[in-house]
Amino acid sequence: MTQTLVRPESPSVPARSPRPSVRWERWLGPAWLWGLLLGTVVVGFVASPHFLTTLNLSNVLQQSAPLVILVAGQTFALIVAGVDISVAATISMGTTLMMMIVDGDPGRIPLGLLAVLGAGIGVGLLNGLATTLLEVPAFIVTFGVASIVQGVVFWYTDQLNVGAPAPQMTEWGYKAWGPVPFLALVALAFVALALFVQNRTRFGRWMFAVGGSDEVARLAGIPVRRVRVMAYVFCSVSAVVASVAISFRTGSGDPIGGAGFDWDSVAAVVIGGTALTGGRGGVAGSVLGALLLITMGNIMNLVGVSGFWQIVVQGAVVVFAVTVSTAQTRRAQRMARTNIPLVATRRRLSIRGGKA
Amino acid sequence: MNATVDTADPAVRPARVLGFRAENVAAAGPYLLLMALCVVATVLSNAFLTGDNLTNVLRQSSPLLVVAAGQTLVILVGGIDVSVGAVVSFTTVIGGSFMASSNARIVPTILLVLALGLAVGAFHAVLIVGMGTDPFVTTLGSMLCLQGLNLVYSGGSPRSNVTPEFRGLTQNSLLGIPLVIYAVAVLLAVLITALRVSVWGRRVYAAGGNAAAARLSGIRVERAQASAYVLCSLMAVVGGLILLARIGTGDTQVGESYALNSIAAVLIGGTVFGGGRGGIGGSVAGVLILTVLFNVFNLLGVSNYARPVVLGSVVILGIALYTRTRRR
Repeated sequence: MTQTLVRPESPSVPARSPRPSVRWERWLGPAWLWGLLLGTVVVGFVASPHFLTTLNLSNVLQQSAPLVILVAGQTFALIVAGVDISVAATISMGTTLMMMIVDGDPGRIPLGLLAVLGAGIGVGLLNGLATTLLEVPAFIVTFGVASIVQGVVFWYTDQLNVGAPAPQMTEWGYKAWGPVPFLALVALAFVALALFVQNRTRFGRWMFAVGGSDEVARLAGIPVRRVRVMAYVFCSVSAVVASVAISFRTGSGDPIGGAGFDWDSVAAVVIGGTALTGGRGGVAGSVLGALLLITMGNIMNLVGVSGFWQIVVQGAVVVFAVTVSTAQTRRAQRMARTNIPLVATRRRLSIRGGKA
Repeated sequence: MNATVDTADPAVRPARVLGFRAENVAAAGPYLLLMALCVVATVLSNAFLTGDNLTNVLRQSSPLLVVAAGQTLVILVGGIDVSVGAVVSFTTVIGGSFMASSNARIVPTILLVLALGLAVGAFHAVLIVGMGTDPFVTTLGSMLCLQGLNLVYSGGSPRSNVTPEFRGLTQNSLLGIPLVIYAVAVLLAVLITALRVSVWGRRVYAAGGNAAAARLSGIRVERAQASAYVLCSLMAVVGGLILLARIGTGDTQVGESYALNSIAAVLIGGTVFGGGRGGIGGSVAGVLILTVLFNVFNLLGVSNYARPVVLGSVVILGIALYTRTRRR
């Protein structure tokens, strides 16, 4: 990407990209992932008569809501060439805070939501400012922040399950219209917001520029640090929104309730085609990656695969998916050398700020 | 370890801080932090600076030292290996059951787990180096596979068929220092020397520093990278064996913290993501910083809640201090 950016515009390049498919992939995700997901659904249909039932599909959607919400934010962290492994601790913080504040009283739900959102923004600012101002690698910063947040959670929960849900919370957590659960709609709305930010706002384009090359982005007048900080804040906010979804569904304030979400979210995002090196990929692929992981788990549950083997299969799926994803990206890069996506890249990075 | 590849023109004079080469000052950063930590520990607790306690710190840090050395190699070639924790757990479980309380089986057990480590490393090398997959996610996938297989194999129950002679590695001492510390010191010295003076070491740095340039200058970049992944898995196996000797029990969870801790130690030690800069010497300081912190927590009886908070703050601020130095 850096090379294409600094190259002067060539007059021989056609004004419009002859590969319009690239554009819908930004909203809907890579086609091969849809194929893989569809294949998984077919396998599920063949393997178990209970898979393609309204009840089960509704269940899958409900279960996947937190991870889907989370990966939208994690994608932003990866696009700006970072990573956020503090999301697990942030989720634990969100569920416990929510439960402690509500503690069975429905009138305190709004207060709980506000507090959790505020805490999430705080963690995001901590991550973002430490990476940009101290210039410490994102992995280390978020490792440290995860440690700090988890310690604080242990302190105020005394390492015990805390609080109690209001009846309305569990009611909405399990509400579904046919196969469409309320939580899935929340996840859908959040993903739509993330997709809009990624594809239709100046900040979204800036993220790709910053992730592609810090230096070039700076030279282009992009406020690199601010973009980074905002990406981390968005990531932490998505973690707390996911934590609220979890607290609605499980109704328990578990001080380590978020454990495992760090690895899972990064795996889903990278399966979805976003690179850890930044500047490439998008939210839609990550969501497909998350759905793929959850659907596989569901099918294995239905077929009666033991929990131990499920972990093995999940690992195999991650390896397989990243292999396919790599092959796809390489193909795209080979095509990039034929000069065509130069236009697509330029359009994505064009800075509207100058014109507006 | 500031063993960067000397590509600079001899006429260009290196930047200096107080008469020392700037890169040497940066390389000393982790050791300065370690020394500061030890001074604080000595002031806070009079149990810290005793022979017994320091021996204990070294014994505790020995598995992580070996694992982090392997991790350093992978990060030096521009990769990362998050599966080391699962490899450590796997080694302790296989070792703890296959040894079957018989001294005759110690050597076959060690060979078996080393072969498994070789297989894991070769798998990583084929996918990451051969096919160009993302190292983080590939090793994450194999981490999950290994964790699952470990649970399937052991049924989740710990295995402790370890002979006292095998445990002697960590329990017997020579001149007051546990045998394992000599073994780890020799292993690390060999690796550090190889990285600094051997052709292989130069290739590792070149492959991480600028793979394209290295390839154009005729270096088989892929081989250097593959060797790093294979060595990293093998070192994780060795770390697992040391851990097994120390605690005497194989457990599916026991290595869990090794992935993050080894990566943190390597980065604290000044090796950078993306590769080409840093070295195992820095990682040793990184591991000791972490172990001394845990040790001080125990000596002072720091509460379970404050431990992660202090750990996180020290890691972030500590690294921030000398990433600043390096930039100047």
